[in-house]
Amino acid sequence: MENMENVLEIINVSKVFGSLVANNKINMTVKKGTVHSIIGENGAGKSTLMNIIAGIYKPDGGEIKVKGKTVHFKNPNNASDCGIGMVHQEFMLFDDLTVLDNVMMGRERTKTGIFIDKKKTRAEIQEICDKYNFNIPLDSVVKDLPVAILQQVEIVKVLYRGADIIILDEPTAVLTPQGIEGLFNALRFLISKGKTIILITHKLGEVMEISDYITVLKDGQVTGNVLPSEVDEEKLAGLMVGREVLLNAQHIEKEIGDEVLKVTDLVVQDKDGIERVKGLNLTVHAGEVVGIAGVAGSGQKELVEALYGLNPPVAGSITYKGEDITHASCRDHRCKGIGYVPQDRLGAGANRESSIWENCIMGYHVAHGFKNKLLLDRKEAGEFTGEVIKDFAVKTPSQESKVRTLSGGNVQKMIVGREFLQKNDLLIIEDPTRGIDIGAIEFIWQKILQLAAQGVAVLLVSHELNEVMELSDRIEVIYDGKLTYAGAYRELTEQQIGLLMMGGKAVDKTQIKKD
Amino acid sequence: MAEILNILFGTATLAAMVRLSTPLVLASMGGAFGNKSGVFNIALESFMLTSAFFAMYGSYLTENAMVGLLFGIATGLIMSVIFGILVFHFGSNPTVVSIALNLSAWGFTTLLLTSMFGTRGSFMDPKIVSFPSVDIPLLNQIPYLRDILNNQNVLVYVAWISVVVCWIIMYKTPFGLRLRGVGINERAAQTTGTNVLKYRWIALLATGGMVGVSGAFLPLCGISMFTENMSAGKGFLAVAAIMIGKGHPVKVFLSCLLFAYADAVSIGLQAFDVPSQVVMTLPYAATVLVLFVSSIKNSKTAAMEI
Repeated sequence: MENMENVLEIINVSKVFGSLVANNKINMTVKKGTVHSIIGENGAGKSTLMNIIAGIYKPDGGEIKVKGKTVHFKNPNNASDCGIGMVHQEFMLFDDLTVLDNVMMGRERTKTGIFIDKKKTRAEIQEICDKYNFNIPLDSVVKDLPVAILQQVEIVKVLYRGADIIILDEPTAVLTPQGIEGLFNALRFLISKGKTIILITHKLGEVMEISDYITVLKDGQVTGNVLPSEVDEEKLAGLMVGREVLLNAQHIEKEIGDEVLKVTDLVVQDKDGIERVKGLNLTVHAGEVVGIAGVAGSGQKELVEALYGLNPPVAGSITYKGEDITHASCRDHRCKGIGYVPQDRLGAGANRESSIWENCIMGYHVAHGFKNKLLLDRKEAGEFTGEVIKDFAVKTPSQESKVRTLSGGNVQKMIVGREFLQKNDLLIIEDPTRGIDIGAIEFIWQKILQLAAQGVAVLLVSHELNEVMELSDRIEVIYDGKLTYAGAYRELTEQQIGLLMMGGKAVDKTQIKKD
Repeated sequence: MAEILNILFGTATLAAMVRLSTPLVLASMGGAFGNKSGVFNIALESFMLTSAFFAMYGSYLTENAMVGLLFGIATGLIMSVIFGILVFHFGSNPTVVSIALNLSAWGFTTLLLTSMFGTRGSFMDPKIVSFPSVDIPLLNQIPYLRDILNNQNVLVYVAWISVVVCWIIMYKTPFGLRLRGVGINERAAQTTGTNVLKYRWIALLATGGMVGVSGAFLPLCGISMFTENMSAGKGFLAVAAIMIGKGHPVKVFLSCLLFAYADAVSIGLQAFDVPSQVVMTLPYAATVLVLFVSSIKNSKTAAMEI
């Protein structure tokens, strides 16, 4: 491996934002035809480093060499001209345009220099798809396609731009196990064709599976350049966090109590009037964590919206502690002691432009009120906020700081803290750990299990199968708006549940035992 | 009954529709670029009114309609530069800037009218030369259509051609594709190497230039005069047409025709014993109606997102 060409060299690269040193003298070498993983917690400087490599940020010091030559990128186009392409975590796609338009945007082939030559462009893109085994519908409008396909569109996009080095930022966050397997196969194929992959991720299992080299970042510095054969997951986690980390949730012994939530024959339509939840039945008991796994877009969003009164169901009923809440408003839900952690933390969960304490008392003021009915009781608000900050380790300079200044993990801790500390009896939690770092994940997982142990009923809807499997006492898989029972804790394997998520038949229980 | 039919479908009404639609079409074709680039610009009214004044002034100075047109375009460009500097570079709210410009334009042009020509209300002078109407021999052979489309002002045909040109630019060129990209997802456009600010500026200048032509049409369409608040809401109608057509040139064009048709019918109805106030609300009622109908489809979606 030593004689392989160094396709990218990062030498002493630093980047400073104000008083924050995001990258401190980073050194790493990426070899041609390898998968080089970069891991680290949020705020460790991974994204900054990638943005420097992709030409979005300018480094404050150090040197970048591409294929042996020193480069100075002024903008993303320079990087792209040097063969560096980036697939962002949030897809950089144009919803209303077709796949073809999306891929060619910015690099259109033209007739006589004026008009787009669709035929030629299409032929070129089709050739890339064929060469690298991507099967994507070029004429479909992007917003109608599933995420796994969108990711392929993004990869084709960078290939079309002639990228030899492809940076993938958290590519597996939104995929099913099968989707991840598909992505990894695609990546392996790309490598076999001489491309180089830089992979940014939180998930250690994946890192171990696919990487040739691993670089670990912590607090803007490289804490390890290792080979996967030299380390195990615990050791990597240790390098990332700087202490030992529990990668598995610690299940606590507890008692399952009375039925808290009961959903009968629920039918929900989305905003376009299309049925997304098709006669679904579900119960959650006190002290029980029920996990719903499923591919994105299987009806989770509509189910949760209906459960929380955001989108009234067309048919069926929802009862909470024996009381019918099918058509209750969000406000009613709050007052009755139902908490909600929405998936879209900045869109639905928090107001970016207001302060921490204002965000912390959102909902609290409705459900619990203040002693003074007319004016805000800043003292009480401050006390509750202080509790959230303390109990959930929200890193913030003050209660007055704006939420937009917090990192994703801290925003999530704040929202989770706000919902968890309100003494709710039922929590509806959507993707509680999406895109946050391993330390925070561990923390939130523990809190969920502790709450359940105290007798709170928890409905966990997550796109992260691992999370559902670790936390749930009972797992349900949602597919095409219906639930399928997928066993109790540790009853089925990841592959078996993954199959159910793709619409496979329920697994025969007797067979599991034979396996 | 025959008279009613004549008002609804007669050549006089339809010819008036074509004539009245012209300033709307010209302005909204420019505005469509701004709309697609993702900038909320409702200052078209002010662009149009100031352009109308200076187009009249240019024609008055030189007794040449073409110079008037150039004055109009230049004014439109200057107005858009003011808008652009405030919104793109000083980060002002586009709605606030638009309202400020729209309110000042009326006062500004009226002030100029009194200070330069010493008159209020309207200014008419033989030195103001309008654009000629054009006789198209081929069109002259076709009955009915001949009475509607032929012998219109030259800018009327310019407007119709501009629809096709705009459509081609927007949907057949890399520029148009990137411009639409900028409007849909600014950050994604950036990552494809598109200079978002540059595209927004180009779109804004296209808006200014086209609205300038539209403004020039008002005093130079044959009447050769300028009146106070000459644009009289046409800039707002153009904005409405752009929104209904979601910036698609052909759909925007059809919306303009619809508004102009309502206007033309109201002119026809003035011959009847209908209170003129009622008649004059017709075009605006039509606007409200169209906006209402076109938004019913979206209302469910919007309600869901609240």
